[in-house]
Amino acid sequence: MKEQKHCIHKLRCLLLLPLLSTLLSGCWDDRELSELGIASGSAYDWEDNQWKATYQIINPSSGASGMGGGGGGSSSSPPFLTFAVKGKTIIEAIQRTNLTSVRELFTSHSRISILGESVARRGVNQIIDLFLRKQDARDTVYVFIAKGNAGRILDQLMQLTKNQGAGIQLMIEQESKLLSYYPSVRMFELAMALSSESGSAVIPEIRLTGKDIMDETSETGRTDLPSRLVLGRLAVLKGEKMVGWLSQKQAFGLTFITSKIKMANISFATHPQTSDKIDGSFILQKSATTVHPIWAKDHFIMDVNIKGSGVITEIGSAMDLNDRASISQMEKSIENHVLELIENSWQTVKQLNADVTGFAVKIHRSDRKRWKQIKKDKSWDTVFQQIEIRPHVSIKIERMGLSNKSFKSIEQD
Amino acid sequence: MNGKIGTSQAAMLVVTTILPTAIVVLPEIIGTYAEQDSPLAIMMATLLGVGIAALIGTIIRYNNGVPFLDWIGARSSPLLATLLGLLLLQFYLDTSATILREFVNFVKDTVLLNTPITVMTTLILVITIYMVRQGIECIARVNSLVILLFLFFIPLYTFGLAGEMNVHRLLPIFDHSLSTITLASLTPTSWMSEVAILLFLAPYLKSPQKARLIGYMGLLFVFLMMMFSMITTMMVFGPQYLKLTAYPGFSTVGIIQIGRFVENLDILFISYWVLAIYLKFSIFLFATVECFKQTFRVKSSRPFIGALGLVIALECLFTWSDPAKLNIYNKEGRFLVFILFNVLLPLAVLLLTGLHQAKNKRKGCET
Repeated sequence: MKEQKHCIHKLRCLLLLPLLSTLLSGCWDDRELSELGIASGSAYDWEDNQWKATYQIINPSSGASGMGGGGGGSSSSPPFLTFAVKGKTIIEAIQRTNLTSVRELFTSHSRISILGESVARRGVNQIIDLFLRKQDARDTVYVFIAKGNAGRILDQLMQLTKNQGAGIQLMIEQESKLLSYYPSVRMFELAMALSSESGSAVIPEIRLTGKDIMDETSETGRTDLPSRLVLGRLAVLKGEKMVGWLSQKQAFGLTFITSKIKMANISFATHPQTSDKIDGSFILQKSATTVHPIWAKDHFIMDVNIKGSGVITEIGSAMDLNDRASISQMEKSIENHVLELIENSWQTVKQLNADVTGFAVKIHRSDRKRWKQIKKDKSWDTVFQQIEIRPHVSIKIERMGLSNKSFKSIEQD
Repeated sequence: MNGKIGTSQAAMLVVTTILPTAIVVLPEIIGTYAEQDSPLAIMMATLLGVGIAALIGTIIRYNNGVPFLDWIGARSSPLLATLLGLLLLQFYLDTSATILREFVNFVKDTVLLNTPITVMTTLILVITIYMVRQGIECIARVNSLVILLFLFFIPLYTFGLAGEMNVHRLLPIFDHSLSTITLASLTPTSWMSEVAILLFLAPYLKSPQKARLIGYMGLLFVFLMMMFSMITTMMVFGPQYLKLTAYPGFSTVGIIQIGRFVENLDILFISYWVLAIYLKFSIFLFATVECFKQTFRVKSSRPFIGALGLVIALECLFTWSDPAKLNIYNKEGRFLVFILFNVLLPLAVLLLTGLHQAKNKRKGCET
């Protein structure tokens, strides 16, 4: 009897085994690595009333050794390939890559996304929606704007790195960490800025220094490429549309206002009373900005307080750094330089009438009632035009580097 | 198979009953109404939840862990108990079906885009039926281990997002009227009312007298986790962006980047969430089976688990096939249904019992 029961139990287990195949339900979504075209970057243009999407696909068989990274594979084969396709919608364009590529497009590892100026002027909402909605699209990609055709940028090979998408990511991360002309902008940050009270955002420009595109692996064997990728100006978006550009200098001023300085180099005149000659460098290591909106009867005054500190790295004039007066003089010169940057930036931002300063957010946080009224009247544009800024800059030179006197003063002695 | 469970184990079951779906569904619903005042809405919902926990705890103290419907039958009439049982059975079947659908929808949206829903539903159901057959003690033990995993995930989450958080994004506080915050707190209150599941877990509690404490402990943990999730998500994305994403909690995880080697962590957190939602579904399936057992006074519920599971699966597949319908139910209908079955019904039972007792006492005094 016991044996019979045991047999029935075994038979049941055997019959249940096929049911285990249901555990393989993931098979509907299986993807073989060898069948995927892993995108490291994408670019979007608007051409002939259609979307043009360009995808940069990593070439696993590449061994282009002149560009750093590991070897292996064919050295004549480029490290990535680009596919440009057109469609009435972005997804239609993406799907059409399957007409030309042997691998299924996989965008989860994409690092950058470049928007053509044509797209930015038309509106970026559809692109943002795609990145927030599509399952394998990452909203952490870094966003750039290119004047003219954005797809061209993706064709350019880089030295020192095989993966151009990751290379551009490093460039912008390095820029925002060491230079702070403008902050890096990821797709979700763009969406956050455009959906905030300010309704405006900025995107850095990426361009080529020359006319030619270095898209052959043999061309990267040179020490100085005639055409390189470089970060340029800062595009300003209002609503979903691009309304203008800020120069690097203006963008730098904006970064001070929005408190996004991580580290920066400021070149200044060491003897501003006697000469306008820019002959000193100061590395700003710490900087914080506080903005307090003050209602002055009929308009807002933005009290912008900037406090920073850093180290002197270069002096081209005769100077004794043990003398407190010399240091104060330099601090004043740096402060004036920052004030100039801010004023210059503010005037341009005001002209563009796009609140990339985030003042609307500050006013909402500090003066809820007035903000509700502004929102009700839909009068933010007018209020923004009437805003007056009062910047106060306080810079402290904390260290002088490894020398207490400038070399010029030793020479004069 | 069904051994007794301790107080802390039961409190952790309450946490799993509420938290897994709450953390996915609620931020968007609360954020849409209350924006940066969302934490206030969660506080309000928790206070109401504590009241519900007190009510449920009081009933369990009265009946001292006797099965809920048997107790009603003994106190009033078996017919009333059966009628209430049928209503509650319908409620638990519906709730389990919506949990299963939320689970399937989430997995479909985020991971398994092409896998047929029927296959996923069947697979989840088969695994959950197996879990329920092992008994509540086994579920409670596994649940405690899963909750302990928070010790790994919370520091990783906090550390990974530290650089992205900005406390000013929580401002201005009290920007919304009390009515808006109350409106935002209705849906989370319906989630908090799920503490009423203790009514069907009571026969398996080692100390039914501590039912109130179990409810309070569970809700306190849920409150802390909801606040943590809501505040960190708002500090990262701000209140406006929060409204744009269907699963804000997982979007937050998606931006974690530690060095150049730890990124795209959302899949790790989704795996953990799947563990938790399996447990939540199993607790509800257990309560459904228990309700069925008490309503129809069957000795062993094991043969019926599969059949009840089938009903849940069919409801999940056909009643809730439209995600918009489920969203509207969660936003607007859920509160009424949950308050009716988790608050008003137990409250009515408690009041009737009180009246009955008072009557008996008076009779006793008269004789």
